[in-house]
Amino acid sequence: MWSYHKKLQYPINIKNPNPKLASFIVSQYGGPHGELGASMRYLAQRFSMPNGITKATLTDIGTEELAHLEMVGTIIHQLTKNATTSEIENSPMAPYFIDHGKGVYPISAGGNPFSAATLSVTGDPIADLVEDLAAEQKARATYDNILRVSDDPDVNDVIKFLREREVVHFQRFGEALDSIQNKPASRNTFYMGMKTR
Amino acid sequence: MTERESLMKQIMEYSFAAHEWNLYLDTHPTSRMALEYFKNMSKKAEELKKMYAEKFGPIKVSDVNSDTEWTWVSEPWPWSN
Repeated sequence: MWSYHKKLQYPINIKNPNPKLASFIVSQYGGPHGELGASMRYLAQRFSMPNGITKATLTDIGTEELAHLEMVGTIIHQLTKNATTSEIENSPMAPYFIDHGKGVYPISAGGNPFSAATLSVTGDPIADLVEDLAAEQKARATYDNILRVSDDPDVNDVIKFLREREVVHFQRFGEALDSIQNKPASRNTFYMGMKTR
Repeated sequence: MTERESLMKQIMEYSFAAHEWNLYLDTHPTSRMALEYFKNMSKKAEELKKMYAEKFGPIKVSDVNSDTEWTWVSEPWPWSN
């Protein structure tokens, strides 16, 4: 079970409305590499994991992804709540606004509602953990793309934090995979660009 | 930054540090160094959360301590600024 803490994992305080940027970032709420899919993927895959290391890692990272879902929702909320109708109408957020107003809805930047088809659960621990490694890199790449199109420092500070979490999760999933393939895992560094010690 | 915001920032810092050690321990469950760090960080986070709840309102529903009012419904919620 879960219990809620009335706090964010990382502070968010966005001063300037920007519906265009919100329409891009919403992809990390409900898009193919977003936080909702990440959380559902890991929490669902737990049930067929063979050891404590893999069960704990999927549980705790799956839980952290729910906190990230809340953070991305907070970004969308703060980027849109003070936007005028005219600002929204003249932005790429206009079609979203017609269906969802200033509500936060799980959808991709391209307009596709959240789909469980963006994640996989095979019941095979190796297949699932390798998918999780890829998922973390895809989320990291999406955050990189967001940083390419965003020039708001209040937003980018938060996006950089979320991006960094994907890197850490990738490392932990690599170690979890190693725990069911080779032992010990403690000397391996999985993130690209870093040498094995 | 108000006193409330400053205390919340400290809670976020210690909670995050504890969470990082939590994930590390998931894949290194026999690391005594990590266990020590985790305990220190989560103890500090819990102390600060208790202080925050007494001064500014509940972070968890179990923090509600009023006999007259369900203070869980009070502002601010995490997504507001």
